[in-house]
Amino acid sequence: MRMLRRSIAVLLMVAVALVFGQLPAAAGKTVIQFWTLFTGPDGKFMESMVNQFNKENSDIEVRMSVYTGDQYLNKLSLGVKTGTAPDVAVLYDSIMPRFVQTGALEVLNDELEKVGIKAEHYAPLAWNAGVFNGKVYSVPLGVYALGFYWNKDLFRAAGLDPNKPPTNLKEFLEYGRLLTIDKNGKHPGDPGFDYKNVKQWGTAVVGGWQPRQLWQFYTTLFQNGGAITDAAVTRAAFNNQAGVDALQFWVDLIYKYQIAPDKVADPEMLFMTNQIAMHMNGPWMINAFIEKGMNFGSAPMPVFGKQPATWAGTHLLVLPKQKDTSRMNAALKFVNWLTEHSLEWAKAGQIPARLSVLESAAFKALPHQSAFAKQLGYIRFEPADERNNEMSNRLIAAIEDALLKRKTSEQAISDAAKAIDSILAK
Amino acid sequence: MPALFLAPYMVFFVVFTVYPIVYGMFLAFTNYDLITESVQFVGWANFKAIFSPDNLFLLSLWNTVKYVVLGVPVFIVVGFIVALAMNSDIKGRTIFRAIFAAPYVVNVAAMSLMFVWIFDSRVGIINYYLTKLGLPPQDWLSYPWSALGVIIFVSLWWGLGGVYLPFLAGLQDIPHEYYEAAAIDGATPAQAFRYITIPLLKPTILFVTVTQVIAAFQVFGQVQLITGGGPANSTRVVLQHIYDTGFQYFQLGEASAMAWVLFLILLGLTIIQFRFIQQR
Repeated sequence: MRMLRRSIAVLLMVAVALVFGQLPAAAGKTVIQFWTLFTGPDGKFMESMVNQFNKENSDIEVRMSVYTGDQYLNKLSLGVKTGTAPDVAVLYDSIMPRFVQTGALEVLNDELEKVGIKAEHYAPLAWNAGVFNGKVYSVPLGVYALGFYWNKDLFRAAGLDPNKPPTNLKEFLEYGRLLTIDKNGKHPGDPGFDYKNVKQWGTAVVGGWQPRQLWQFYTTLFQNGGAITDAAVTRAAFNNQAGVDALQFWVDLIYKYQIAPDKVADPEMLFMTNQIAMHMNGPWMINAFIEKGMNFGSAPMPVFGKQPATWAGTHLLVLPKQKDTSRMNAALKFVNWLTEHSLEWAKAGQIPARLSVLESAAFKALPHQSAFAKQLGYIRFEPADERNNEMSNRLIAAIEDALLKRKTSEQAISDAAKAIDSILAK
Repeated sequence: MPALFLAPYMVFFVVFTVYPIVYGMFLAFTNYDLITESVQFVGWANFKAIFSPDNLFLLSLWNTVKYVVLGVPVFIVVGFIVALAMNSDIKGRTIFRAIFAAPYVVNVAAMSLMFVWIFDSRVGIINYYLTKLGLPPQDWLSYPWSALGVIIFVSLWWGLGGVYLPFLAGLQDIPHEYYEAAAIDGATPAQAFRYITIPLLKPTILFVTVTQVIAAFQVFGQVQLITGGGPANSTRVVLQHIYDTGFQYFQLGEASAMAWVLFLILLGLTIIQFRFIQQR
């Protein structure tokens, strides 16, 4: 009987610990709660960084919780509201205003100096994503941008230099033509080219994870000198020639230049199975392609329009407001340590924001990541506004309409602009 | 005393079902966004907003109706046929029963990702065999109607257990004597089916229809994962739109208003179905 009672007591304690997530801290240790949304392979890299930090710092214990992207922002919102937010959390550029405007985040201007974090240590565009009206709300961990992948084996087979990716529109189209091969070995433009029976494509633009279609459109939009919305995020700004051309470019790759399939198929999968030779995606694909044993290269996005530019996002480390601010110094120490050691983060398939890491020989030895990093001077983010998700969904539908020839580019752009104007007018 | 026995369940029911329903009704009239401190009453504004032509709610509702009208009859007819087959004396009956019911317990994400591969236009196994047979590969997810067809097919495969098991139970409940008596009176198998099986299965048919319609109106996971509502929002369903509005766009008020509209539609349909079956 006593045995039973004791085991029930133990069970209850475990249950209470599980429910409240508060295992007692070792004496003298400051416990830092750290929330991230890294559920993919990148999560393992973050975990090993946190373990390393805990090993090196005997006075601080960081406890990491990982939530799926869908749950993450809602949990964090409720955490802020109910006073259970973590000490350190990861956010990204477009969602910042939601937390900044509601006063959920600590202003870090005065605090950063105490641990030696300085703006000039970080890539300026990434740093600025966390600055609102002169107030600093975040420290950037890393950047992810759309970049260019190519299959070196297929380049060689097509008679192209496997170490020379296309850098401009002309080269891209010509390479694409040579890399698109029908069952008779003919290329687009050759007499008798059979578009319905193509064995290998230059690239693929429709299908797969939908946001990728959006990022390729944003990239050409930015390269054409266009913008998604006005600076104050009150109206769509792409309902013009720059926007139409930006979308028509991808449509033309399918129907005019015939170097991409008109079918919905996941470009990631096509690239990994050697069915397309060129692929545009984020740096998080690097490890997947390496694990697949592919012979591939990474490069900045070719310049299709008037100027170099590419879609990007950035992971920002923020400190949600706490009732008890005594842990803030430890939290910032951890933040500083993470960015200092973000070479490990680069290996996860990210571009570090900390300049000392970017300039290190160890980072330059990562051929793919350092190729992506060359774009840091001209990355562009999505509108910093919590309605961005809703706007993105409307644009994705418009892009699909155009890519599948259900609407002209003009019509798709004008419909999307109208929908976004009405979202922003709410 | 009986109330005491019910209490453990009732407590959970009230806390996790009744309270959220009532709270959802309250939220439908507010601008709640999960984070802002002051929640304000906005009257009927959320209901006006969801019925405005700019909102995708009506489109999503229409897409869902298409799925229900085309899908549910397929689920019921196929489920019924499978139940009849599983009720007859075929070899390996137990194994087949398990096979048809098994997908029901598969996680929706795992199941959907499998079908994403199967229906992929370039590397999918269906197109692989179509090509082998000398047929042109099909572009399953590029067109609104074929994308809808894929969703229905996948839902059928996944949910067949939920349809055919009640039918099977219903069939097994019909006493064998009725069929014997009918056979002695000279009834053909078709007549026995028409005048014994169907009438006695009526409660089961009602049950399955009602539950299937309700479930079909709430289709979500497989759509989200297989088409993502595409191509170009043509398969965007109402639950997906509610979810996006609430948890992606943070407009919990609007999402609650949509949920209530959906609830009223389902309530109305259920009442009609009960009336319809009682009259006969």
